[in-house]
Amino acid sequence: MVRHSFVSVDPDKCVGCRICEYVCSLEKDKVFNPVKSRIRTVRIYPNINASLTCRLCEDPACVIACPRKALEKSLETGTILIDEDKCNGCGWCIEACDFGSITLDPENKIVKICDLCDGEPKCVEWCPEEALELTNRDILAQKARLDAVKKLLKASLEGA
Amino acid sequence: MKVKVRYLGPIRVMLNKKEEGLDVPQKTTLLGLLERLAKVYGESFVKEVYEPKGKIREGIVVTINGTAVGQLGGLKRQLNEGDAITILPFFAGGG
Amino acid sequence: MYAYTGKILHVNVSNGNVKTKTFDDEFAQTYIGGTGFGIKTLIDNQKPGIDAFDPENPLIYALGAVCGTMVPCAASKFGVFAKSPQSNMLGEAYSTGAWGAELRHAGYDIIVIKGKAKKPVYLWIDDESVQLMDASHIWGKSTLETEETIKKDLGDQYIRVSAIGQGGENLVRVACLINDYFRAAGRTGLGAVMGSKNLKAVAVRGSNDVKVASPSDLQELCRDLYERCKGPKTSKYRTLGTAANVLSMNSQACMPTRNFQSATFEGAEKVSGEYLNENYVVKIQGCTSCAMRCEHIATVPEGTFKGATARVEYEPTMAFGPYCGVDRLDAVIRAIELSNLYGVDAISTGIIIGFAMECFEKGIINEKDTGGLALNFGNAEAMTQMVEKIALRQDVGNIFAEGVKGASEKLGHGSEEFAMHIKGVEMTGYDVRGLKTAALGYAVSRRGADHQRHGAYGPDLGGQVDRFKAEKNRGPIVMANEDNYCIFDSMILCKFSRGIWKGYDEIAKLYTMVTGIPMKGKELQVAGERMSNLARLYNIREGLTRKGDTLPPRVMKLPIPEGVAKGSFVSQQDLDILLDGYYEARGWTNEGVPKPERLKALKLADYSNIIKKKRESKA
Repeated sequence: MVRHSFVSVDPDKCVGCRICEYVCSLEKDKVFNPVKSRIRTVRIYPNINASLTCRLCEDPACVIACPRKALEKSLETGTILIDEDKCNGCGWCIEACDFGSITLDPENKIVKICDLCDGEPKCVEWCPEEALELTNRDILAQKARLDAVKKLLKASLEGA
Repeated sequence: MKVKVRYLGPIRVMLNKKEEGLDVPQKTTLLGLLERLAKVYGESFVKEVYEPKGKIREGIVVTINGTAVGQLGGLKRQLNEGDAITILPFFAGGG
Repeated sequence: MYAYTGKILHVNVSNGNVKTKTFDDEFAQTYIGGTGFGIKTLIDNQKPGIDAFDPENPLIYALGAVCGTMVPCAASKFGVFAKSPQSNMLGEAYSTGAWGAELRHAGYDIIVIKGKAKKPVYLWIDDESVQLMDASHIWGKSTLETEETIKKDLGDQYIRVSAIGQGGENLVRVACLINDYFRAAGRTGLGAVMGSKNLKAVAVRGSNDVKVASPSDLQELCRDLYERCKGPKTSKYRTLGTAANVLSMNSQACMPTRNFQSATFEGAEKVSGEYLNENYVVKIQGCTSCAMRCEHIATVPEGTFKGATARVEYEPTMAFGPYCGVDRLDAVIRAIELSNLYGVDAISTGIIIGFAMECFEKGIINEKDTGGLALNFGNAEAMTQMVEKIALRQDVGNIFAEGVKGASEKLGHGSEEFAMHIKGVEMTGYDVRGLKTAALGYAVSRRGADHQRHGAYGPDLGGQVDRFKAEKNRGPIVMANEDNYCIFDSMILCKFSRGIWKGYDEIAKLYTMVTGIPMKGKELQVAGERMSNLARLYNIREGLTRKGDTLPPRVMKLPIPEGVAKGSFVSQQDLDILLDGYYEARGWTNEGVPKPERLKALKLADYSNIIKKKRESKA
């Protein structure tokens, strides 16, 4: 079974510093510009913080939505490949993405989607809070399972 | 002789202790006292409070009876019966 | 140009005229950014001697050299400048969050706002599109509602807003600017300057790249800096936060308590950083590109002030806690929250309320004046209500909205003797009676009572000097600290991160990596001295003399009553020794006036007419 990894955020650890946005635009475009970043940070008053990027959906809404068939899910990495000649910046994919993980380059008007930096995402490397992680759905499920069992055990122990 | 050590800030949190009384030999220096505490509390105490080369770490102030030890001859200062030693952090406020 | 945009945006809110001017490498190299840009722009754009509320008083925003990059704790810092309605001298305040970076991405390094709109407006900067928008629906609203309404109206949650609350609208002299919900450009009453222009906010959205000269070198340096940010030099900010100062200051008997009636507070444990973290802090978060994070967001879980939420630092905790004799953190959090919402400086507001409490206890004001509040020291509820009364100018709040200095002048009855301000700006959280290097720093601070222009409490509390003794050698210490802080405030680097930097040389190297402009450590140091001198010239032009470099009466007359600093105060003789040492170190006359030769060496000869006039008026 192929397990594709993607960048996941732990909102408890994320402090909203946006360093991920800066390193992403620096890595990909050699400039500092959050609107060109493939990962974007959200802060909701007063203290909710999270950075979101492509989650490599198994049946990606963006690919289905693209009227020009410019997007395609890579079988090898699971990332969304963009055919820059076909993309005309219409934005259907942006609207279709449930996580707001697709952005439009303000200059060339072609969409940008996380490509995982060839398997070593810069945002994960630089996050000073270790809030970002390259992981997959199986691992996330394992963690959730462990947490759930710990909680249940704790409750039963306290009950006894 | 008996001395009292008071902890403030991150050191208090780290040791989970506000203060303690200690019995130390006569002529114990401040360095001697800190070394003894380091033996009890380990590496993290050394890292937080003083550099091994016999210097109190930047951002940490040690006072004896309220006077900063910089004005009392530093770590070589000999302690006296009943001295109150405070280990505290200090830093800037907002901009 | 790298990093810098090289653009200055001039906006006249009277008629909506917008002009973009440019600056060159030489201007950048000479004034660096932030405080350097701010002071230079103010002295060049303000007609000498005008009132702070004159429409011609320019409200200036200025960014630092490294703004909008990944340099830790520095991407989003900005300075705000104008003639201060508190001191009638240099007004300056700094803030962080995300607003500063957004302005650079929008394409500007400096904004100069003049004029007065006929009806409330806000400024909307969307890259090159700059316009005045109707603000009548948000006039009278809090800073939080203003920020949220503007984002909603313009339909973009990523728009950044720097706004005033009711305090600024009502020309409260300690009004501030709030951006990104929690961040304040707090000191010297700049919110009132914005309010005097009928301007409610500056909203910004930017989409431009920030390019640096040597991206890979910068990335390597930043990798190292980020590691240093995680190290012991910043651990205090990351864990307990600045509120840990409460117990430190208290143990050293330099905790301003009950309007300087004491320097130790018996309730300190209950308003300490330790207590705060255990019971109130819900999240610690950071500003844009912050690699250390210090924002301690605290929420009150129960009781009268349930739900109150604020970013808690040492200074406001001191001001609403010990200074008002209040030992309840829930009330402190609520008072800080109200200060932010109404847009009044939490430090100054707390100091004013402490002053008001003493006026009340001495019978100078009574319950009729306060609208029924028993304004005794320690009355936590009355304290929080006073924040509202000051911001809204209700009852006696109308008098206290003038600040401690203005209020004491109106109230009389000896209240001047316990009005704790310097140059019209309220004291901050260090009892300088027993910190004599810091006392000098406060006396000469260009923006009035202030610890952040010099940080001169460091050598006092660290034991490098005898803190109870006034000596001439404190002059060079304060001077070196001031010039160094000028560089931090012009790059602009967060002062909480100052422990990670290895001196001028490293900062100069960073400057060149980012801007491509050659710079040496020594040159930066001189630039710092240039800024200090230019600020002095500005203040002299607006009327400052040696007499103005002074300390509040209580610091000079009332010895600290107890604790390890018992008996200490700063006599006139002490102050004279300190000032003489400082002026000498700076190469100024004993009247505190820079000399022409030094000005020439600092490339400030253009301003020598200011000192010439000074000499003529003396003759």
